[in-house]
Amino acid sequence: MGPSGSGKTTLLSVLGCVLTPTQGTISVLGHSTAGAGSGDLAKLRRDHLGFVFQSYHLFPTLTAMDNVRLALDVRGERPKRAIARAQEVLCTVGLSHKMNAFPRELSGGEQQRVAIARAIVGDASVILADEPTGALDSKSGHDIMTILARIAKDSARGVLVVTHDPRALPFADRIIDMEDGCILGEKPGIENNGRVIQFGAEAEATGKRPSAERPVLASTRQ
Amino acid sequence: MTRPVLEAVDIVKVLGKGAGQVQALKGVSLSLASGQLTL
Repeated sequence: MGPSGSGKTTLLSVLGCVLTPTQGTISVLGHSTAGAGSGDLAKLRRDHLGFVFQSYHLFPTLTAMDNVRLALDVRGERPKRAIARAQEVLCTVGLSHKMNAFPRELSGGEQQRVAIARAIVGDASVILADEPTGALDSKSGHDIMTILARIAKDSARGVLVVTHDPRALPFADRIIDMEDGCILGEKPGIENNGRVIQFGAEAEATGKRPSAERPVLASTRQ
Repeated sequence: MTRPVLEAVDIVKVLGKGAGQVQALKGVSLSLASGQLTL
């Protein structure tokens, strides 16, 4: 969490091995990236990291199925297996009925679901999401954060969401505050200082989001 | 404690060159655990 210019996206790019740190070390699954060449880093990203962006970054001429399947094709996955796996993850994000739709035929929230499906289809250990709800309305943003929280819990992935949107707070297990390129502090998400965060159409209608209506996945953390 | 899937130790990142150089990250360290959503 942090305001614009705090370094959140730069940090995400460094963690995602897109940018090389000037100093310091990054380790993915215990393996340091120090000294790794561009080919090694590309393989690392392909095999272990999944990315979700604010603007989805889908191929407009490919269907939802093919956008997801592409991530497996570049890994050399067999076509039959790639199709089956793409179908599986699209069902996971609630798009079983939109597999053959093109991005222009999907809402923003649906496009972001496709992007999430693409990020997880290869069984990445880490999902890095840069403002994934930034272009979405409140309901769609709620749905996307619910999916990301479920992915973290159910599949034991590590999910890092970079955002300045306080409505994402109820979904977090941990909250790291950044400003001016520094980490100011960290706190557990479930505590959240007792604040109640509004999120979703119902919260907008009532003007209040009762704590009991917090997302189940966030409120059941141990 | 869940195992870390991603760790960053004392990360500094300088962007740009010359007079336009900016230190975007100033010694950031964090660990990302599996099964957790971190903001």
